[in-house]
Amino acid sequence: MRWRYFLFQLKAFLLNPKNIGLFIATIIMSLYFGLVSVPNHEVIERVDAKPIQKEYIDDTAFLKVARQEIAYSNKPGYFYFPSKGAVDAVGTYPKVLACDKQLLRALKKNDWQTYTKYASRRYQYIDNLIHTEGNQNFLYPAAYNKSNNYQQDGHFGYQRTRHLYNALLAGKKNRQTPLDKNILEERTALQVMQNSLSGWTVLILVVIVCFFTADIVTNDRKYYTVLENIPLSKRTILWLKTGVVEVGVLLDFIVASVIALFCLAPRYGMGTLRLNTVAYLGRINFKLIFKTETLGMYYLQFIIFAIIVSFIFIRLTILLSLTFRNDYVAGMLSSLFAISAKVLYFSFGMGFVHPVLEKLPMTYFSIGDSTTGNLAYLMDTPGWGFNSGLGPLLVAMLAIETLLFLFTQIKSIPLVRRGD
Amino acid sequence: MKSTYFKANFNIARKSKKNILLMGALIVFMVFFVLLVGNQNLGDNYRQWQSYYDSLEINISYFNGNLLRKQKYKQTYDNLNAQEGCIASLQNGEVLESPQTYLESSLNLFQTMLDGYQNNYLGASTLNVPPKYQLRQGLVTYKYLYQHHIPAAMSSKVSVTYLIYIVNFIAVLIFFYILLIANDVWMVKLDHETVLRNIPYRVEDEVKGKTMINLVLTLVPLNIGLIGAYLFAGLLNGFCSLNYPNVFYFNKIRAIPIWLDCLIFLFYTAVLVVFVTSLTLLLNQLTKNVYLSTFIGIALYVLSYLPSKLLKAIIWLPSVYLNVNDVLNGTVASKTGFAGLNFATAAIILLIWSLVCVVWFRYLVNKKGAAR
Repeated sequence: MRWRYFLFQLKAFLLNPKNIGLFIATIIMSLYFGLVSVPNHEVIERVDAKPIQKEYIDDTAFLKVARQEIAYSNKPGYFYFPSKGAVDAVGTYPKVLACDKQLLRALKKNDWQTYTKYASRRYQYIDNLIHTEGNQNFLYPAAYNKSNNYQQDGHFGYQRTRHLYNALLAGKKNRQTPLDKNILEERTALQVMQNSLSGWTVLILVVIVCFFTADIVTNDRKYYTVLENIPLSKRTILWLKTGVVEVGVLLDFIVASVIALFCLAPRYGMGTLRLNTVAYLGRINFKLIFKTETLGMYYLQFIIFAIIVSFIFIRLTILLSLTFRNDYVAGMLSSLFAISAKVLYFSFGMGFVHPVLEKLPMTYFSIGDSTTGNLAYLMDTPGWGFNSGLGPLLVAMLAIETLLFLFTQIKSIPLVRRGD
Repeated sequence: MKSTYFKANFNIARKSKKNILLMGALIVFMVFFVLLVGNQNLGDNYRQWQSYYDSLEINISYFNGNLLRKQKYKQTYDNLNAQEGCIASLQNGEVLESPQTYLESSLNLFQTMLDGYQNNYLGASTLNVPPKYQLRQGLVTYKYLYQHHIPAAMSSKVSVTYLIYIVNFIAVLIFFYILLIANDVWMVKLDHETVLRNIPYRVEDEVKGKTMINLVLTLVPLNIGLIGAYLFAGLLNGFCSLNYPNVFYFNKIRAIPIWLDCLIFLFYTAVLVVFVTSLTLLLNQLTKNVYLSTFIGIALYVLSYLPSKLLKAIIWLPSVYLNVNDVLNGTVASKTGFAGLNFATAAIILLIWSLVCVVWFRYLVNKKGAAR
């Protein structure tokens, strides 16, 4: 009976026009992501010989002028102080130019290991000049400026790139994964997905889960006479319905991922799960700034979070639709709950002063933000990652399950009423 | 019969759990959001300018060290130094609570920032300067305050500045509110076909009735929200004149008193209700599904976030005119490059689309009736 009920519900779920609409919407979003969004995405640290060449010529010319200026000031009888720019240039440019030369050579030979090694050194040196020594001859790229804190954002950006390059080099040594331009620019399909599955992208997917679930209980009104005397307990019916939505959601997300991968992989390569990536630990000025892990490990954590978050929202939406006896209200309320953190304490900047937010489940609904360490950067404190998120999410799950259990224990409250 | 039928329909809409939730949420949000604005200093100018000031300083420092390399950056360098002075003065005005200093410095700052565009801020690669039209929007507001001798309010939490904040905020999202109110407008009919089949009705009367109902369900809570927001913020943080300006675009970017802006906002929202009702009537009839109608409506709105190049190609579609804030403050005209796209032309385009939707809807209903 259970199996037949499950199949009946699954068929109704898959033929539901709303769900077909959601399937189509996810497919369109996936195509947009793979064909428009990613190809037009500007990589900040591009692996390209042209800008390095231009900078090399420009800086060499400037170094020549700066040296002349210093030579004048050293001439006996001249009472002349060289400019700060000239002094800084003479002190720093030779090392940068030497790095640039190595980078150009490596690019010419397609020697990605040497390129990665020298690029990492260059980022470390320039970051140290700007951030620690206050050298004004160098600037972080403007594109890093995301939270209106140019200096800090630039420092974080350079540190992340440097650590990523070191992690990729370490990964290559251990597992012989060949490096290439797309891997260094994080353009391969698996890397792009890793960086994109956070923030609003994930929250939109969570909202889709809410709307997949919204009418799973209330739709039984249509078959009231058929289902009225079905020999299944309320709890079993709800578990079977949960299973149906889980299958539908899984199918939807797998199709969307496959489409995105098919759009990206031929262009930029698939990447491998053995590639290394980095996650921010929460203290920018400490020795250990990022932890290194494989993409496989990253995706494992992501999937665990994703399963818990989608389960929470399926069960919550079911609970709300039972409480309010209205699918729109249930869908809207659970969607509002899903985006509450993003809207309230990220967009309105409420995060920095409330450490208690680390204990709230809403903080972790955007998944990627916590697993990449972006949340720790935004909150400017360690934590906020996979380990910190598991507790609040499991507690939320338990709370919803307890309420659903109590609901199903009350015999006078049916799942659907004839007059609903 | 007609009025009884209308009343019955109105009661169904009024008592719908979804509509009650939406209306309640709209009013509560509009009135009490001021608590968050005050608590978190949202719309606070000090923080906004501090971030721009940091970006200015970095670029000025860069020029300090590199002028020897690029003499052609001198014009930008001078402009950035002038801006730095204006921001310092503006922040002094804010800290010392001197509206006059704040106002004069703001005026100078916006003018200097606009002047910087003469050489497109050559060399200042990391300066996050706002686009020209946003600077003009700021400039007209401060000019208006200066000309009408209105003291500048330095936060968004006093009665009138909060009213401006909430009107601008709600104007971005009001389309979704109307869409959610109207998304099941024709479904009652379709869901109870056997009961309602034999009740005589004219499609025109149905459209008029449903539009009236949605106008009431939108404009009544919106008015309560606006008045409540003004009074609550006033009681909490002090009152200010309703002549305080907000940015408005007709044939050029200008500033108008907020009371007039509210009236125009309500008028345009009413037009939007007419359009959304016609759209949802058609979509309900076509898809026979509330959710699909909603998703298609949302997709129409999402199109307005396409890049400027593509936006120019779709100005004949209603999408661009669904974000009320962008229509009223001239962002649509600036983004598309069509100076004639103000609230009046936007309203006309929406009404034309409403007509198209209604004609199509009537055709579908009549066709179904004839088939039966």
